[in-house]
Amino acid sequence: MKQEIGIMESKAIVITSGKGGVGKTTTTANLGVALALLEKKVVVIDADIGLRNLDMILGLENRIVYDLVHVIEKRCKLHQALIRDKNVKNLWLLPAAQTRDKDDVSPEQMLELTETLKKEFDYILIDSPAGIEGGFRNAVAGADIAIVVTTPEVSAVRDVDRVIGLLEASEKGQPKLIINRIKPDMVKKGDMMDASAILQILAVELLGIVPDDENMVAYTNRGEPAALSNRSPAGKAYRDIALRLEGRKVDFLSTDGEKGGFLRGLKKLVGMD
Amino acid sequence: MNYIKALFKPKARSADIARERLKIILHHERRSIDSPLLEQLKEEIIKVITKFVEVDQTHIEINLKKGGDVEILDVTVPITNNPLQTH
Repeated sequence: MKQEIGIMESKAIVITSGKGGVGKTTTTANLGVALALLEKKVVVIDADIGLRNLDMILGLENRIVYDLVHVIEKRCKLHQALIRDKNVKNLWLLPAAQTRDKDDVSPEQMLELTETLKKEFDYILIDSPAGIEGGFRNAVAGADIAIVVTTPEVSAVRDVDRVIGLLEASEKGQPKLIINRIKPDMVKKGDMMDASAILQILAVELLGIVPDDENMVAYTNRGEPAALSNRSPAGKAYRDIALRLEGRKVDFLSTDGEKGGFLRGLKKLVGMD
Repeated sequence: MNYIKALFKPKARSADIARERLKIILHHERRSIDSPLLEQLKEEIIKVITKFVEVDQTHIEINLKKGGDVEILDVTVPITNNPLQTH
């Protein structure tokens, strides 16, 4: 039994953002891969019922037989719906239902599901749909902690601020932030907000900065997440995030060319200095 | 001499503009989530006032304050174009 052997408690983490298209699913997939590469047993859950996505990022779309709704409606056993990743042996996927919608699941059912999964997995990563309605509430229900994802654009930051407020009010505590698609060249020219500007505005703990990586589309095309590649800067960023979740201190990506100054300032902001 | 100052003023970087806009709008939105009724009151007050004068919407301050035994609704509205005559 896991509880007898384990020293670390299982963690259920929801990955959400408010705004769509900022990288929740990509983050869930790559973080799942990165944690599994650290020998953790990980299940990633696609909670975007009706709009399946996580399966394609992982290249598992042809292996789906049962899904989240089948499990919740007890029309199949949990293990029949879990799909083992083709690249990383410690990673499993619980796909979303494609022909149902978000009303077919309740927050209580999601909580029951994650409690069951905690007996077997070190990490449960829940990929939230965009928005702040029922699908979001379902995704959050089973989580212990939340990761919020934003890009350095005004709409995304505004939306994630709202989500942070909702998460704090729902007693999930303060979420941790991932800033996705930072372009150091644009930051240097003053055309893109840098991480410290975003942190000053949002005032949450920074978990990671993922640089814009022009190869991300190719990784998705192939169904091979970037975190598997040693050549991908985004992949490295996700692996660093996994290390931080595991309690290791890893320097953040420098995004303004002035490595010492930025990092020192950033470390101060996140209490690492 | 203002036009000479303007010539030498560096063009604001868009990232800085974004940051300032976000600070303002989020400050406003966070407060409105805490007190929706107050927000409604603010909106109606602004609607009425703007029927008569032009105002600077970004610098309107409407706050509830404690003043001794009573609560005071404190309203500050900068006017940019005042057709009301005051002597």
